[in-house]
Amino acid sequence: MTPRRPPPTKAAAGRAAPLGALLLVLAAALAPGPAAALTPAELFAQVAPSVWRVQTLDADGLLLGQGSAVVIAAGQLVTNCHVLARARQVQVRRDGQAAARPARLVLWDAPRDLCQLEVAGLAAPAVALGSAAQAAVGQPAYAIGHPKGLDLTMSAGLVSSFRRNAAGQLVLLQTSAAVSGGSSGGGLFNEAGELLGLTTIASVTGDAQNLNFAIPADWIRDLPRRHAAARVAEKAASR
Amino acid sequence: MNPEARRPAPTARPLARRRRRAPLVGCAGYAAALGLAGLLAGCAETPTAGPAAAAAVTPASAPAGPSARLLLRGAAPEGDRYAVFQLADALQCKGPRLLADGDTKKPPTAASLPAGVLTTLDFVILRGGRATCGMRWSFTPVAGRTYLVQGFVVGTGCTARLLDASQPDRPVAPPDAVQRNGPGQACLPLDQARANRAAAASPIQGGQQDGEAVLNPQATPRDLQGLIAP
Repeated sequence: MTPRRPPPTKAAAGRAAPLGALLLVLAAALAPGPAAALTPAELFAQVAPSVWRVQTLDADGLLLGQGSAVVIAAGQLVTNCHVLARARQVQVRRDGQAAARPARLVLWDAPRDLCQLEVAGLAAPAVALGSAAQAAVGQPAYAIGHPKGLDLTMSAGLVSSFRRNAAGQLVLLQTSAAVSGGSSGGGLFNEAGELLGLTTIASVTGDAQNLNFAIPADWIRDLPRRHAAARVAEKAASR
Repeated sequence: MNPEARRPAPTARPLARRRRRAPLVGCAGYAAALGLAGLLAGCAETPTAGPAAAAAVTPASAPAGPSARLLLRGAAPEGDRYAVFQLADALQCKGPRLLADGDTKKPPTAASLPAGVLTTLDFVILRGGRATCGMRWSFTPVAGRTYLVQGFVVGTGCTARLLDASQPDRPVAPPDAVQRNGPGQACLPLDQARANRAAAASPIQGGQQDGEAVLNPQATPRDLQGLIAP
């Protein structure tokens, strides 16, 4: 899959301005536009190959837990760290495949519940990373994951809200797209098939409905930097 | 953990639905502080004579230095009273001094709290002169802010909460407030109360670490050790 093009920048629009209104209109027409909306079926066909089931095993090779993961680069998948808790081995798989593929934890950021796995030789396309900053409440959102071990389950909803910490920083996207146990680490996509976040928390209280949450995809971009910084800090602390 | 990985459910309910039924806090001194010493027969403890008891019968005086405002709002059946006490020993939860009280006929008046000092407050319901239930919190009031204790009777118990109501239409829990009483515990050690609060924090509140947003500032890679290559 080819990552989708980003929306036009203000700089690009600025270059067209001196050429007059007509050219501006023409430039706007020719400039890369916002990623086109896909039908749910088109979206699923585009991104589903990038969503994998994660299985964790204990020291005896017994199944410990399972969740979901999304391919963000060749052989690289992101998932929630809590999916991997207490595991001794981790693997990814899809229905219809004879064997699971062993994975290796390569980057981790426990406070953000974001971990990256490497799977050698994984032939799966990467999704395009979107940005929660460009998302809006009310826009369609689609969750794809492996809830309850049900491979590649898609659900539709909206971006319901944004949850922020006390400092006003974005912590979670709230969505009405249904997620369940096993969806953790799965993808929440916008209607262009861009990854908005990883479905992380589902509300299961008796008086709550459709209150689900995803960590923002923007955190995926920060993962290498934050991982490296945390490891440096750990080494310094252990001296 | 569930065989299928997931986090615990968020407490995404409205604040008003987050109230918990309050276990009984120690009631010694409350009746005395309200002038009800003769009616204390049902209490687990009997007020003792001496300096502590003498202090208890005196309503708390207004703090001399920087202060915060404390409001009390309650609801109790006819004949019951609700009250807020400040504990002279905030760490050990001893020495209740009446700050405010009310009932169906007498609305409570505002009180003052010393700012910048660890403060422990009790909300109690007094029925027939006996403290039937209560909640106990510790926090450090901030000068100029307005705090609100809301409580009411529910069945045979009560519920209560402590809020920072400096913005009356957006009351929030004081960020450092911890509940000091719990099942079978009248005065949890402060560290334990803080640990309980951290453990009970809603996972959707998030936090901050080195200036960056995080989901859970307390999370560590400890659970990942089995996968982290040496």
